[in-house]
Amino acid sequence: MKRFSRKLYFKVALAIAFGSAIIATLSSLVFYFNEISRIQERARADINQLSVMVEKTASIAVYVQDIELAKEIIKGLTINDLVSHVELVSSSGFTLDSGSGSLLGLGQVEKIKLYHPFNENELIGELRLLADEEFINNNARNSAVNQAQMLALLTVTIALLVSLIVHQTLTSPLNQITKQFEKVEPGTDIEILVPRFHQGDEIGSLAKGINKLICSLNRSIESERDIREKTEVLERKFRLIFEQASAGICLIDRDNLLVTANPAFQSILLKKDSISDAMGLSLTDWFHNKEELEVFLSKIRDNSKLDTVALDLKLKAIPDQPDCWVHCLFSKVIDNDKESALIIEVLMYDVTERTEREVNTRFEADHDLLTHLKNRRAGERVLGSLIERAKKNNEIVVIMNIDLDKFKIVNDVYGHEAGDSVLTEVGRRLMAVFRNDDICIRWGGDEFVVGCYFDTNRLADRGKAAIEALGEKLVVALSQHLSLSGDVVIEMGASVGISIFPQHANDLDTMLNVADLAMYQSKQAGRNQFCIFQPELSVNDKH
Amino acid sequence: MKTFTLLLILMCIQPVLVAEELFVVVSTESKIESLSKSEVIDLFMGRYVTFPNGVEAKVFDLASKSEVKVLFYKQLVNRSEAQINAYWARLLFSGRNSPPEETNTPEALIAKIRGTVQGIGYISSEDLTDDLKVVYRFETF
Repeated sequence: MKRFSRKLYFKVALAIAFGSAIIATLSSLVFYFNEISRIQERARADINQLSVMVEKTASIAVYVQDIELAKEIIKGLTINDLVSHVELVSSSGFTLDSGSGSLLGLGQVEKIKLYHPFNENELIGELRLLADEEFINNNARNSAVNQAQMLALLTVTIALLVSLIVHQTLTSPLNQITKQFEKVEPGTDIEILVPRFHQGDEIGSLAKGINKLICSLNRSIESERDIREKTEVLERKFRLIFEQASAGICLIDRDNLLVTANPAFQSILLKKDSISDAMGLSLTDWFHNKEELEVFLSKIRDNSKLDTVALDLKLKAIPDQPDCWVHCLFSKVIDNDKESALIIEVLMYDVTERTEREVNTRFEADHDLLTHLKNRRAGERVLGSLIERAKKNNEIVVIMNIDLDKFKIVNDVYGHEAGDSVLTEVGRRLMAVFRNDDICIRWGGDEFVVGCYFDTNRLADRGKAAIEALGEKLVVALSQHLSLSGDVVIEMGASVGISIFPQHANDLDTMLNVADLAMYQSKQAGRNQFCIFQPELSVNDKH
Repeated sequence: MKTFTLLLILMCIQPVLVAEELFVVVSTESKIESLSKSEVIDLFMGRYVTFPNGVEAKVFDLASKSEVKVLFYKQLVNRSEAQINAYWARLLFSGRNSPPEETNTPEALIAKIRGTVQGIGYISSEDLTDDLKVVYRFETF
């Protein structure tokens, strides 16, 4: 029943029945009252006609006082159903009625004035008729009830008829369409049949419209599927490129946090950690110069002209692991979406080997391969900049010229290999004596130069003593014997000449010359000692 | 205007109406001296069977097809003879009232009135004799 009550044709019929019941009730009511008043009106008119009909005879009867005639008139009138009582009153005396006494004061009394038959101005009596209201009202009610019943019957009939028509012409074909429509699945070609006799109307166009819609839906699903397949192929290709690339690729967001990365990135940066663990970590954490890199990245973001920047960066040192270098390409990802405009794509290659090679090459260019000290060319350049720096900062630069004693003999006696060993040992001992930022140079052959600096204010009180202590330490270090394989012990020694900037000279060449002079002074003084340049001595020498 | 038109019509029909003057007469022996028009109507139309003084009346009429009768009823109640007959036909039904006794000629009518003390009838003015008493004469226009 509930299922039935949901049906459209039932609803329509119910609505029509409800509406027409209201209308029928209202119209029956209106009709009822109208009918009653109409019938009463007609009864009154009928009574009036009756009384007019007998008026003449009644007035004659009253005129001649003929009671028989008057009775006859009254009898005739009361036979009529509409009339319940009649009264005939003569002004000259007699009153006749149909048996209920005076009608004066009762409702619905029809009064006809009776005039003198031969003198229309003389009133001689009155004919009074009382309408039979009960009869009239019964008549009216019956008629109204009949009418109302007819209306009700009509209402029910129309409601049934309409629901039948609605069912046949509207809901039944709609049902057919709905049932077929429920079976339709996107992507399959099912055509909804147009119900019979509905080709041309709205139901037909509904079915056709649905068919058209399904057709276009299917077409769009197919094209969508094609596009998706193509996209999948493309995505697979790109994914392959991404996954198989030898370069590490990653995306970082505005806070330098990793958004995505490929396996190569993992092998370069993460080593054994998995990519998924690294997501959301800051890229800069892996690098040696973290703060500088952060500044640099923010510069890239702020500068609209910078799109791609290449950098060689050193990774943060891991204990017991060699330094790693990566070549990074930073590119801003251009996207219509403003939020992602701050994303930077980073492409990186492991360049540790290349960097090491470069470092080695530079070392070889600048250093003496035997002693690992700086060679003369690089040494001169560094000394020059040391003097320049000292000039700016009011520092004192000390240059020591070191010449090995009797080295030629070692070469001659023990061979070049022993000579090389001596030179290597000298380099080692120089590195041990001097500080890291002092400059130790193999000047050529058995000649070495060392440049170091002192603060000015310290020279005044104990600068000279410090220089002398350093010189003594150097001489002592170089005078130790060197044991070689095969129980060979080589006696070593060096003469050292010291020049001081700015005390002795203002430029590197003069400083070197002055140190050279001082070294000769040491040699003359008996070798294996140091000598700070003394201008008066050198003047003497020159002479 | 309306009055004028009415007057004009009355003037046209006057010669016909006044061709003969009618009198209502009784026997000279009767105590009745004069009657009003309505008293004459009441007697002739059967309302009362007595004179106003209580004496029983005997009404005489002329037979039908008489010009005088037509004129009389025309002047008395403005009815045709057929209408008068219809009137009496209604009353005859109850049997209580009856129309006046008819006489065939005016001479017979006059003779009836002469012989009846309570008799009353109508005559043309030409037929008036000394032994008849006029109790009502129709107003000449």
